[in-house]
Amino acid sequence: MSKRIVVFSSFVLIFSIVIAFFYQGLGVDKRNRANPLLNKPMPTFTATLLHDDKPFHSKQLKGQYTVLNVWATWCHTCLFEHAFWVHHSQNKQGYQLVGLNYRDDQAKAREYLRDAKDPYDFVIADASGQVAIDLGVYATPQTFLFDTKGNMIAKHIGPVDDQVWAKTFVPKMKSVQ
Amino acid sequence: MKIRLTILLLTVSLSTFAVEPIYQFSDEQQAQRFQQLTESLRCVVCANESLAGSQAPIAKDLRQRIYDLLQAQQTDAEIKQAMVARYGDYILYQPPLDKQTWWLWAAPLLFCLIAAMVMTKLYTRRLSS
Repeated sequence: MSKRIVVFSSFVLIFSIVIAFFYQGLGVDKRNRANPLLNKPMPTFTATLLHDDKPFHSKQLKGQYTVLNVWATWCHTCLFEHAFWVHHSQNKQGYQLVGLNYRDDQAKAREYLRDAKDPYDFVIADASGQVAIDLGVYATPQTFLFDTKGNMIAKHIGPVDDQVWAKTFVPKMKSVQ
Repeated sequence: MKIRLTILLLTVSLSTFAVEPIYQFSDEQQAQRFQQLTESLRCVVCANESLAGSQAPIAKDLRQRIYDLLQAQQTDAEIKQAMVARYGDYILYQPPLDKQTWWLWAAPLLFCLIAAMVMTKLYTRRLSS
């Protein structure tokens, strides 16, 4: 009889473990968890700059910390986030803030930056979305942090605010310095 | 049927067709590879839609990238690897068999084995009693 109980309870246990495993799997965000480029060197890419159409090579991002913010004028959350960058760039130290204008009307983007203030040191134009593919972008806004050697050391999907900045970006810059 | 057709026509935006370039392939085989690749890769922002079937802007961009890589004479494996390197295994409809995923294949076999053992045991017990 006691053997039966052991067998039965071990089945219940195994069953519960399986159920618990699958239940936990329901809440996993597969896309956000997959972050294959994190802690890897930034992919090499070429593009043009938004303001003067000058050619740009990704190696120009090396040599200092780079915060790369992916945005577009059609992306409402990006425009909401814009205020943060404008405010933040006023006393930024130790890094350059670079914009990646994603799948946008470039004239509109330039106009927006003129009207709403331009927080970026420079903006890379990516009308075709191909630079974004190099960086594994699938949603905007999205912000990356690259170290001085060009390794991607942080990534945030969604708008950056003071909290996210302090939690995701600031510690990374300190830990490497 | 008529209603379905109407709904279908209403939901299809003609402008989306206007922007998609018509890809020119060097031969039939390359066109087939393009089709197979885009069908085996997931549109990263859609709920279960392949790159081939999706009208999402990023799916369009990814199709363009796959086309470019095909033109650059990359193999199917290299193209898939390039996608996984950026978007992770999530982009593959067929997960790879590796250290993390082997039990997906092993677990059903294991459970069948356990079930078979239990059933034989019950059966022989019933026979003997």
